[in-house]
Formats: sequence, structure tokens, C-alpha cells
Amino acid sequence: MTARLAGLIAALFFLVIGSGMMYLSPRLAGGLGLSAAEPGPGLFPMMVGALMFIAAAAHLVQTMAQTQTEAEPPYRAPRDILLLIATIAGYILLLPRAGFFVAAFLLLLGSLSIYDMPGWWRRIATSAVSTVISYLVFTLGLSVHMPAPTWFN
Amino acid sequence: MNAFEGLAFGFSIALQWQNLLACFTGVLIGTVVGVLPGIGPIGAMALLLPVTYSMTPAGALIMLAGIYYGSMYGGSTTSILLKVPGEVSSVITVLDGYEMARRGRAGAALFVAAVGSFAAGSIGILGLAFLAPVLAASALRFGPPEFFALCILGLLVLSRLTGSSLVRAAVMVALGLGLSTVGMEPMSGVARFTFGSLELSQGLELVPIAIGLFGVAELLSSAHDKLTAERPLKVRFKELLPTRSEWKRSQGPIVRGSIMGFLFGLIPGPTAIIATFSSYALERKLSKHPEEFGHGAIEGVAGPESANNGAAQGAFIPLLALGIPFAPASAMLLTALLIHGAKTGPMLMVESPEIFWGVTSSMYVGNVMLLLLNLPLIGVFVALLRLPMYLISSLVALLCVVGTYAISNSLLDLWVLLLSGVAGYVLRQLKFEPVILLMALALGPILERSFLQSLYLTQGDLADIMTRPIAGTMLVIAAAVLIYPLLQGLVMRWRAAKPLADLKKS
Repeated sequence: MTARLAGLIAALFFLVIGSGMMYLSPRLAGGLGLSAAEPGPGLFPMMVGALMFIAAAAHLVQTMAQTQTEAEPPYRAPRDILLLIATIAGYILLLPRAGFFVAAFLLLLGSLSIYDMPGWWRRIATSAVSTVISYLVFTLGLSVHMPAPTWFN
Repeated sequence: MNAFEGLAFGFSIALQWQNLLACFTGVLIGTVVGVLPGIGPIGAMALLLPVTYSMTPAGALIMLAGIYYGSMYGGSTTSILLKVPGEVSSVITVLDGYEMARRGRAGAALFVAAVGSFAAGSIGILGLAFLAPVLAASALRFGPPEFFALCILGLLVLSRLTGSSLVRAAVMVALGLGLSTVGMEPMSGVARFTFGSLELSQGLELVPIAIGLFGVAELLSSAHDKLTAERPLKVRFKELLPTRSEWKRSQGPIVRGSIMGFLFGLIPGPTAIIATFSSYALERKLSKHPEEFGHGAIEGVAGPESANNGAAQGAFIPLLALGIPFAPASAMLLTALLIHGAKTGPMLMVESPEIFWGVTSSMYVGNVMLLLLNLPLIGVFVALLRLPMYLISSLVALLCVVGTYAISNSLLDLWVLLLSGVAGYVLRQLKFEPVILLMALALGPILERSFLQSLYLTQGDLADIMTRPIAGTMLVIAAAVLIYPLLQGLVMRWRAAKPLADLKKS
């Protein structure tokens, strides 16, 4: 994807968000209010939506006026970024089901692999030790409550 | 009792061994929660509130206050070393602190941040002792129109100083303000943009978004660039200290940031945040090398880090002199005062001088402790940067998710963290500045509330705000901040076009 195309998609995305806010704000309970002296809950989001719409439209015009230069690198999402996103999402999904130990261990194992730590056994040992230390620091030391695993009940 | 007698009396209280221990415990916990993202000072104070039941009221307040200003010290550490702001008021430190760390100057940045925090604390304590009654009264002159004007000015100043284009900055401001409208409306309690979710009706937490936009986005960037990423240079002991030139460049920003932060701290709301970016803007304006800002200018660390500590000290004035908490952390301290049966408000100084003067003096003791605690730790923190990148990145990932979950044990916060991380990465790729989004999100609720209250107050005629001296002045400055660069651009374009036109004529 070229920088220009990415900019156009971003501008269109913000245009949609701004339009959505302007559409939904008057439809909230109480709407925009009775008058300027008695504003409703939709007034502020309506103004913010309008600001976003105008700014996004200006950004769209600016981006369309741009010409693609050869020096600009293309935008892409490398495999490792997608893997890291999936690893963190996996942690969030696993935390309430498998508990902190399993979720944190897998998060660490996944990210150590993504960041190319050499040796599988070293990765496993580092993940296990770091999980136990972080459990001691956060749960016992700082009284952070972790969800009980539902899978093992 | 005048200020000198009060301070002498206060030191006699603060230097009792029980209170020294309470102070040390407070500042130590404060430093730890400041370093760890997610677990804020308010959560730590709430957790330790029951521990204070067996303590004297002065001892309890000394410990809880220590957590608060101690966290301001610690907040800069992860901002500088890992680009993960420990506290929201350390977000601006990310811009230059992290760049300094990348160039092997992490030690100097941490040293200047610690000294700046100490100086701000000391200046704040003097202000607290001598100016508390006078300044507290003037702080009360801040009504909704003044807050409205302050937020507008703050957002405009921030938009201009990050170097982002006006259009891109406006998109980020609108996005931040838009996100701040999710949840209950502040006046009527109507749920907005929650799409039926009960959790969303409480609004979006600021901290997961801050950690996501900076911490997770940085992790994603480093996953992308891991083969080419710059490693910080090995730092020798003498390089932990700032050079003479760096030290000279830091002194002015520290003094200005301290005073500015203290004055902002008197104003209700998230003013520590405004204080930090106002200080950043001022230093960039005054600097002989404004082009270095954003690329590792030491002034960009010294000013804001002094300002956030100054604001933390300033926030004690309305609390101790008037019994009015202007910030969530002050509300927690007020709760502690009430639990211990102390009379709050202007009578606190008269009826419980051991609390007022004891806490004021303990802050100086606490600041000395923090300096002694933080300076030796700089070497340890910098040594952490020499750990392999795969280990640092993986531990930061765990720290981000655990810290975020710790805020309110909410899985929604974790999803917000991940989405913000992805958004932060994409926004940076598209040359949008996430710091503007974050500040707009932080200021959104207070901007909206003050805007609506101003409308009620002026019967819908916002032009009336211009007749109020403080609000009017701030709006005029805001207009100048907005128009000046546009005019400057037009003048430059006209000057550039004029010789061409003359040439054509001739």
C-alpha cells in the first residue's frame, strides 16, 4: 500500500467517524438540548464530530493533492507485527479461562520467539521464571487481583 | 504561627522516627508504582489506606502524600528508558527522554529528571508554606469559563508544539475528544456511544490508552525493526551524569518548570498534564536549538519533569488550606483526613497544625529521600537497557498487560490497550501525533463539563466569557497561538513570491 493510499483510507475513516458522531449525537436521549442556554448531552459530541469531519475532509483534500514520490516506503504489516498482536489477543482471551500462569507463560514464550531469543529450552525456562517472578511482584507484592482460571474448576 | 515557626514546628513532627519511616515507606512505594505502568498512585493509596488506621493522622497523611509525589519521580523512568509512560503526566517526557536514551544519554536524562523533581518539590514546599492561604483564595476564582478557556488554550498550544500539521493535529484533537465522550454524559448521566455495553458506560480509562498508544505501539515497531533497531550504547559510570553543557541547559528549564508546575497545581483538574506540555512549549520557544526538540533535547526532559512535580506539590494547597480536593489523589488524601477525624478546611491549619505543618515539612524530607533513592538507582536502570532486546520487549509486553489489568480488573481495558497499541502504530506510520490524541482525551471531560456549565452560566451567550479577565485573556492567547503560524506562513509565502513578481514586472 502506498503512503498516499494509506493517507486516503485514514482520511475516509475519520470522515466516517465524524459523520457517525454527527448522525448519532442528535439521536441521544435529550439530543442537542432545547436551546444554547439549555444544552443536551448530544451537543458536545456533535461539535466534536463536526470538527473531525472538517479536519478529515481537509486531510483528504491535502492527501489527494499530494503526488507519490519514489522515496516513500510502502506501508505493510510484517508477519511479526501480526503475530505479536495475535499473542497479546491470545493472552486476553486466555486470562479468564486458563488463569494468569498459563496466559502469562504463553505471552512470554510467544513474544520471546517473535523477538528471536535463541534456543527453545532457554525461551521456555525464561518464560517460566519471569511468570513466577511477575506473579510474586504483582499478586503477592502489590495485591493485584488475577482472575481465577475457569477451565480448571 | 508564621511560616518560619510553622516550618520549624513541622520539622519537629516530620523528623520523629515513626514519621520518617512512614515517609520512607510512602516515597518508596510511590517510586515503584510510578515506574510500573498501570498501577497509579491513587490505587496504591487506596490499597494502603487501611494500613494507616493504626497511625497518627499526621503519619498517615505523610505516608499517603509520599506515595503521590514519589510516583511523580518514578513516572519518568519508564518514559525515558522504554517509551512507556509510568504516569500520564510523564507522557511528554517520552518525546525527548527516549531519544536521549537511544543516544546513550539515559543516565543524564534520569539524573536531570531526578534533580528537576527535587528542585520542583523544594520550590513547591516553600510556596506551600508561605503562599498557601493567599493562593488558595485566588484558585477559587477559577470558574467554568476559565476552565473552558484553559482547556482550549492547552489543546491549541499542544497541537502547535508537537510540530504536527494543523489539519493532522485537529484530527487527533477531535479523535481524543470524541473518545472522551464515550460513557455517561457528565451533567445528565445519559449513556453515549456505549452500544449497550455496561462497562463502556463508565467511559474509557485513560491509562490503557496511554500505555497502548506508546508502550504497545513501540513493541509493535520494535517487532518490525528488530534487526535494524538501534541498541543503546554501553554507558560508563561518568556518562551517567549530565555533561557541563547539558547541566547548564537544564538549569533554566528546571526553575521555570518548577514555578509553572506549582502554579498549575493550584488549579483543579488534570493540570499536571497541562503543566508538563506548557513547560515543554515554553522551553522550545526559549531554546536556542528548537530543532533539537523531539530528537533528544535535555530541556524537553528537565522542564516537564520539574513541572509535574511542581504541580503535585501545588495541588496540596487547595487541599490543606481549603479542604477542597482538586485532583483524584487529593480526594484520597482528604478521605484519609476524614477517616482520622481531622477537621478539614481552613481550620486545619489552626486546629491541627501538626498535620498541616508536619505534612508540609515531611515533603522536604521526602524529596531528599527520593533524591538519595533515585540517583543511585540510575546506574541500575541504565544497566537494564543492556539486557538483550528480546528480554526487555517481552517483559515490557507482560508489564503492559498486567499493569493495565491492575487498574480495575477489567478485560475491556486489555482490549482497549491492544486496540490503542495498533492505533498508535498505524497513526505513527501515517505521521499523526498520538500525544495530541491522549491529551485531548485527558482534557475532554473537563472541557465538556466547563463548556456546558459556561453555557448555563452565560444563558447560551459564550461571547460573555470574553468579558471575564482570566478567561478572556486565555482565549486571546489561544487565538494568537492558532493564527500566528498561519500568518507567519502567509507572510513567508508573500515574501518568497514578491521577488518573483518583481522579476516578472521588470
